[in-house]
Amino acid sequence: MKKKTPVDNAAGYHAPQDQREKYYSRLFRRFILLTLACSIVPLLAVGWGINLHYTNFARERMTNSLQTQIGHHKKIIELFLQEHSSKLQLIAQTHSKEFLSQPQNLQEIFDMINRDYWSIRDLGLIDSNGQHLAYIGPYDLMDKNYSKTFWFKEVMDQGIYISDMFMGFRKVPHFVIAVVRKGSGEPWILRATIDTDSFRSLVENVKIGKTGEVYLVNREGVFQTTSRFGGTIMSPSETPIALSHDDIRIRVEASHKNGNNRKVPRQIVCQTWLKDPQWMLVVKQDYAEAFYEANHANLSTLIFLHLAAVTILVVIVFISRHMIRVIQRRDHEADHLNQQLMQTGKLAAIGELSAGVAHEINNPLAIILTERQLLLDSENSGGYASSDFQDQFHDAMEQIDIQVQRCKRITHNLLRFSRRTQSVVETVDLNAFIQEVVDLVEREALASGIKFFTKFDEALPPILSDPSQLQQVFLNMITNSIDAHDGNAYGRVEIQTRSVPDRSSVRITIADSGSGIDPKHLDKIFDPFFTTKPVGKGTGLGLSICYSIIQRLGGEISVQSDVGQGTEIMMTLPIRPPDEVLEDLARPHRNTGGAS
Amino acid sequence: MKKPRVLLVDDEEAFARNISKLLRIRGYHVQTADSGPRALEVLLEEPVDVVVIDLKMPEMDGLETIGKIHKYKKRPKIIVLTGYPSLLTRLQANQLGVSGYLSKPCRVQDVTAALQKALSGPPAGDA
Repeated sequence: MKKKTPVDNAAGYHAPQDQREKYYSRLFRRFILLTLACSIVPLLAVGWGINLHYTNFARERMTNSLQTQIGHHKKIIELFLQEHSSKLQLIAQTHSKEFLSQPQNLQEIFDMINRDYWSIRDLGLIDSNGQHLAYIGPYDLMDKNYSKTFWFKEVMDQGIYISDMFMGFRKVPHFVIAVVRKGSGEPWILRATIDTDSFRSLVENVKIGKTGEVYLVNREGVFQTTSRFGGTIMSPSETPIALSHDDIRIRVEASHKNGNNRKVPRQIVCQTWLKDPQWMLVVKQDYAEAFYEANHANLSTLIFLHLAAVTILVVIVFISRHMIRVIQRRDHEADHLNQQLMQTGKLAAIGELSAGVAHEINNPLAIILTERQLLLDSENSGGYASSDFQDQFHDAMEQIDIQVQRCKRITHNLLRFSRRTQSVVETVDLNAFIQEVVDLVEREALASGIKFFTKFDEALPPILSDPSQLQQVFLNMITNSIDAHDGNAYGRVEIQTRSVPDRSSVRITIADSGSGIDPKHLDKIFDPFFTTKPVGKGTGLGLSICYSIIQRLGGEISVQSDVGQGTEIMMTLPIRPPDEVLEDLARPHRNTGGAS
Repeated sequence: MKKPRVLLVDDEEAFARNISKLLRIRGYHVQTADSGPRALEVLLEEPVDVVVIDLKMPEMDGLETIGKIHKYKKRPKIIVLTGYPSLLTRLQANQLGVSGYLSKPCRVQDVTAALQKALSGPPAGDA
């Protein structure tokens, strides 16, 4: 199975600073949005829901109470009128015209009716021609004839009649209750005028808050009592007259200007019809006052709710800020640790290499030593003059020179390596450079049965890079490719360089014939501390460090591996890294290659 | 007295040539092999008293070769002569019953001393 891992490290060990900042602000926004969605939104939704429910509930209760009140009031007014009608009827039925036409008798009855409270203004006995037979009251009405008045006709027809408010002969607003007695003789009428003041106080003296008013209107919309704000008795009202109905109706009247150009705020209007006479009882109250308590409670709840929401928001912002700061600090520490790891990896590589080199020198030294011994032997056996000695001498000198050169090459490579531990950016001839690294490890590899094959692009342009870091990468990669043959008797490592068609970068491929990488490990091979080697054999840092270095040098690295077939590592390096990469490399705190 | 027969196994050609020359002068019969498998072939063909063997070699390393030599009926004495001395290989070599462990570079006297010691010791089979 082939698998390619384009390495795009999500953690971004060394992402540029501005990218980091963007990441942090994105994270911050996400924190806030998430907590908003999880706390404030439900809080407000529940709060508003409960509030709405409560408001409706409060209104309903308020309306009900208003309905009860007006129903009660209606009953009182009806009872008052009924009581007086009944009294008059009783008097008419139980007394004769002759008895009542005696003024002192009528006066007695008048006093009796008014004994408990002052309710009728006057009382009169009128014959079928509309002429007063007797009259008790403050007005001089004895000579008035009522046969032409509207109420006279009504009462003669119906037997009992309660009039609307009218001015009549006395020219003040009043209304009358009249009953007729139809017996064997001529019918006669007993008429009482209800005291307007007592009736008004009965109707109007219901105080409903500061803005409440109670009044009566007749079917023509004329005020039957004086309303507190609407108008005086007998004046036309603006109240719309509905068809008469038995129930109590409630409506809300929008804010408007009345006839006197006075602004009337939104009001709640409660109305019901009396049975007899057909008057409409109206109770009005400013909406704001009627629902003051509910609205007030509402307002406090909403203020509290929004204060809580704002508090949560502020706390969320603070907590998120704090968390972002913690994350920033952690990232910073991780960077620091990563750099320390790179340093450690570097030192480990140097140590390994030094040990290898020290061992490597032993072989030429051993040969030199044997050459010396051969010369001594030769000298002992035949002296300087013998041809044997001459031959041996030249052979030995030749060998000594060869072996010393070999030692020199080894030590020089080592020195070059240690010099390169100081991070500098310079032009690097990759072909020669890789050959050097190969030379360092070739012999050891050969001992494990691994041969190197190099296929260098002769036209490869020199690149601008940091040789010390590159060396670490190549050494690591090549050592890994050798280690990949664990358990195989033979193996090959092919190293290829070539320039990428667009000529702005070069590509180095290291392919081995080793055991390959398990596909399930392929994603993790660049993670720090990931290793499949036995405990104590590998730190798991090599590839992660290589990854970081290549990335920092502005390059890319990818791996392709087949289990049992081998692994191919492909690195791409820019011929000239972008300026910010060069600046980054030049920055001292980023200079992890710097030997301390 | 018969010359002691020595087989020198080393992939470093110049070194092998020089040491065999020096040992021949000192009265040893010396053969060389440049790899472990080659040494095993030589042992099949000819009797050998002592094998002087390098540890780090291509194809088959020294310790592995020693392990294989132990399977031969007539086991020669073995001396390790390596350019990569380490405590680990020394212990491993001792476990395989080698008679000597020398590290490069060394004087020819050290080699002959080790050979003497190996030849005078009890037969390898008893080790």
